[in-house]
Amino acid sequence: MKKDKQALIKNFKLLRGLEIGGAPRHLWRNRDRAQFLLRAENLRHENKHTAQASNRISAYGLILVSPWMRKNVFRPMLVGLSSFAVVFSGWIATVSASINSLPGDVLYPFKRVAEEAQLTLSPGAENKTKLQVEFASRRLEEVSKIAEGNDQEKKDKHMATTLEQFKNNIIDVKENLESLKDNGRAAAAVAVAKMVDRKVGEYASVLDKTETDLSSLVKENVETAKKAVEETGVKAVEVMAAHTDTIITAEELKKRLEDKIVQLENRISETTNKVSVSTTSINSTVNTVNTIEVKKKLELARTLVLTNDLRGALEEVKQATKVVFGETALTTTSTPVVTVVQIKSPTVTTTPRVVLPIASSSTESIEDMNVNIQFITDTTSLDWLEAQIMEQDFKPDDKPEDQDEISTIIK
Amino acid sequence: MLDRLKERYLLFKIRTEQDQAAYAAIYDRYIEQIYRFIYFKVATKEIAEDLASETFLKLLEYLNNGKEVNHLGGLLYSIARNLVIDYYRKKDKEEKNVPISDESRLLYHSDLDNRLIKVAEINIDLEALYKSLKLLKEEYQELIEMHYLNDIPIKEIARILDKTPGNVRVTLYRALKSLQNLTRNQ
Repeated sequence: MKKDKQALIKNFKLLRGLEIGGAPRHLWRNRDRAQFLLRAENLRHENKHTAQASNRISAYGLILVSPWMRKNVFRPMLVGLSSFAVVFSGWIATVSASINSLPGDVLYPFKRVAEEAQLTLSPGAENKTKLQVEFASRRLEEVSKIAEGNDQEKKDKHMATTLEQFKNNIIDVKENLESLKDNGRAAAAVAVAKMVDRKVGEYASVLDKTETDLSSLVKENVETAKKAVEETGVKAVEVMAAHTDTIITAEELKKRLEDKIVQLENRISETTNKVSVSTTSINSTVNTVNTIEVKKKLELARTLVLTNDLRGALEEVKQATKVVFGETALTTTSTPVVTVVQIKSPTVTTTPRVVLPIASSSTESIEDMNVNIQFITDTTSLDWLEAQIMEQDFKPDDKPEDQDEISTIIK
Repeated sequence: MLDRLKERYLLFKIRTEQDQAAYAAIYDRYIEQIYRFIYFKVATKEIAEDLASETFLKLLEYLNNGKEVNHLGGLLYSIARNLVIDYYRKKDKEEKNVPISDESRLLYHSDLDNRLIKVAEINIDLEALYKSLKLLKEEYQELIEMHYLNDIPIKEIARILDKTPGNVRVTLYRALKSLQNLTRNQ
């Protein structure tokens, strides 16, 4: 009987590999897979790309808690509650083990869970912006560490993903700054803008250093990240400009604008050095035209700064930023573009400006920020809380299988 | 257990980022199983291919609507099974009267003869095995296909079919015994 069974199993194995045994045709399988992924991609474009924060938290709960446990143990416990106070330094200590993890590590998702939780529960655009800046710094740190690895394929994959996440963080910072500019308290808005401006300078240096020895795909990611950083830096200066003379002095804003002009000039030299000499006269003419245009804008911006037209200067810097990053794309394509340069006459303001003392800006560092979560009031946060509690008590392999064990644990 | 955690992580990546790599991983993990599951229930490989494609497209719709998925394998098999049932319901008049549980016996089309010839060309034992498999009742056939052809562990089969592992083990034992008897008589 045993021999018969073994023979049967052997024949099953043979059968399995045959088309007759249900193995799909390779040609069909490859084509079908491509169509499936194309459909998935189309759906992704139809939907919003980023999930709402509350959905993210519920989604994190999905991977940590088994459906049975959620339905039969924790939901009955938590369904009657609508709010309670919890101090979370305990769970932060627990997930602190994941703080040094990198993309690809087992603990890395938990690091991201903690970050998403902090963002969701953090009140106000100011705090969110500070957190986003902190997280962007972490992403860049991860990129640097990944770059030190040996496995080229993994390096490329993880660097590309992490740079994309960094870029998204930076874009969120920019959007929060916009919101602060319009709706935020002036002092807080300027404080955050100053912090962002300082940080983006650091980001730009790190990204420059990262650019050696990368695949072309990852280089592209670095470029888009640099663009996002530059635009966010300009946005930070814009926020400061909106509150010039009330919160920030004109002198300080001038200095920031001059720093931005210098950064863009360095960027142009860097890009010009990288452009290979084209053998066609059309391309080299176009490249020269765009570089000249940007330099003119930056010169004009400098002049406007000297003549105290800071808003005019900011406008020129913004336009120059767009052209600089557009310039990078142009040098890699073969389509020539002719731009018409319009030079604005510098305006000289004669209205005297009253310089007020700088309001004390927040010197709170990101590292000092405590994350003690006081109240959880909605059920999506409860799902997440439940997920964290579950994760405290159970490792995946230790999940209890029977009712008695569960009762013992709950007691 | 790690497999389940990985599966939930893939679902999480899809739910939050609609991550293409996660979709690809799920497709690669299940396509062969689902295709084979359908193949043994329908007449031709072309029909099996169409229904297998449709199964994954329906899965996409399901995930895109944000519905919770407790067990991906179970969901896919359930979708595939329903598609096969719908397929037979649409078929011509004479086959409509065949009870659903005997769908596998609808394999008495010309394609069955073609398949048997192909199997016999490879291995006479395989021919006997294949013929015997087709003669088993559907419940037995399904279990043997899932466990011995698709290498799905018993616990996983139990989850997919919503039965206890013990029940699956016993039924599988009976199925194999039945198959052995049929094979000996071929």
